[in-house]
Amino acid sequence: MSTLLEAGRAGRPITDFDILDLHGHVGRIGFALPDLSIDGLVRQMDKVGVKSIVVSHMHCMSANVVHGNREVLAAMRSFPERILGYISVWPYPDITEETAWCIEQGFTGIKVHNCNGFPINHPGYDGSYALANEHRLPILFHTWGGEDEFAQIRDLSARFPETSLLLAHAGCANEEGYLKIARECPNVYLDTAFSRSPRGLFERLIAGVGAEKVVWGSDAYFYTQSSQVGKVLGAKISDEEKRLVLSGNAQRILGRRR
Amino acid sequence: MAISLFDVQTGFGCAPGQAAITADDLRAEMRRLQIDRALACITPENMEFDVPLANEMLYTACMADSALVPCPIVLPNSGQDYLPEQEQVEEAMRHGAGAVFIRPAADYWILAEWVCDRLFTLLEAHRMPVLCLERMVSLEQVGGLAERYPRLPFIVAESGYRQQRILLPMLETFPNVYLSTGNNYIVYKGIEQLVERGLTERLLFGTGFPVSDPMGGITQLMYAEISEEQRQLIGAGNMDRLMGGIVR
Repeated sequence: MSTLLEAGRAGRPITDFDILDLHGHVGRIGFALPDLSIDGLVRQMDKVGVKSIVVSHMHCMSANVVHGNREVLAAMRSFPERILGYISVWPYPDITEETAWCIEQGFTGIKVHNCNGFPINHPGYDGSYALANEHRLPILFHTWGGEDEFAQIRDLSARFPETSLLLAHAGCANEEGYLKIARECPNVYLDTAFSRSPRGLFERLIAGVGAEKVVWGSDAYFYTQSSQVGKVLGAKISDEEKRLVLSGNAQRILGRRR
Repeated sequence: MAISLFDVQTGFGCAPGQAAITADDLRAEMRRLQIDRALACITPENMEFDVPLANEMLYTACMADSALVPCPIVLPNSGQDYLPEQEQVEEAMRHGAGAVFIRPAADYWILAEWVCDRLFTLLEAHRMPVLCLERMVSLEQVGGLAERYPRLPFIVAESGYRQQRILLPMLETFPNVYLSTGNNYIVYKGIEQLVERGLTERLLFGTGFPVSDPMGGITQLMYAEISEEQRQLIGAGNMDRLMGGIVR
């Protein structure tokens, strides 16, 4: 049994390297979540052995992005280094100034959800994307395998090559499409968050694009971090590849900031 | 303390677009992840539609390996085309079943009393747990059954991560309803909340293999913020107790 698999089976926190969770949320959503506190999130991180999580507010799915960003900032200030923030954006009114202000406050990247009815390459986002490009920040996109989404990502990848584009829920549908775009675009990475964890999907992503292009995201507290880490710890890949997914790739992406 | 695991949400059978998952595959995965026992079903329901054959395959595999506890499919003999309910239940008991599996939509029956009362009355007499996957038996339907047959245990599995507003009162209202953790009950702090509400004994460990990667179900339990005693109960103790209550 591999060391990391053994640790997960025993419920021991992973402490020999820093796990970075690149996909988290805070705030209220429509369905019941038993604990909305930031303390509670950090407690779960401690239990698993997660050093830091980058969160956006649930309001990345509504027009109330500024309200959400302020709550994320408060969480970041409550737990520096542990809670990092994605800036939630909305195309109208112009969000560029808010994005610039958030970057100054120490936010780590940008989160874009397309449930708002806007394509992710909507011109209303361009000012924010340009700032992300300038500072080499990651942008996390909610995706669901649509070819239209991939076309938009290709466009952004070409126009903002200094950003790292993280595609959430990779393989939830159109698995081939995710592999293809990650192979094509050097700055595209696949995020593992998916509630159902179909058998073998994670290993297929690794085999298809290499461990260097896959990053771990739990989507906590949409899902529980404790279950989402299992798909990596239990995968039939080497511990070295697991380390890259859980830590190394994220360190590299976040370390590019300037 | 090593936590023993008894997986109540697993099985083997056809796999769409892939090689079939055999009982040996299931056992290999159990060994790899140190899962001690499994309540095994034949899956998936849309490809394993021949109930007598599916149960025969299940019983054969489980007889060959004591770590596999059969969870055979039962159905009302309302079409007079299958074994009478009494014989189905006796067959399940004879093979050491730990629960039975109902798939109303897949097997073309409904939960109305005039279709299936005979079956559930017999199961209740034996306290034989009934496995209900949420996509086949809605939570509202489980509630209805639990009320109609109060001494019959129902195991809800494959419940979603957005259902806590229903699951919590369901477990508090019906003492004969049990919930499988794991796929797709991955509610953030869900186990912790149910344990805090005094429902530890109603939670059963599950993985969702072969549909899902099984390790997520394991880490969900192993990293839950609960005591080791509670973890052990959920891991295997509660299912052992449920099986001990079957009137054989």
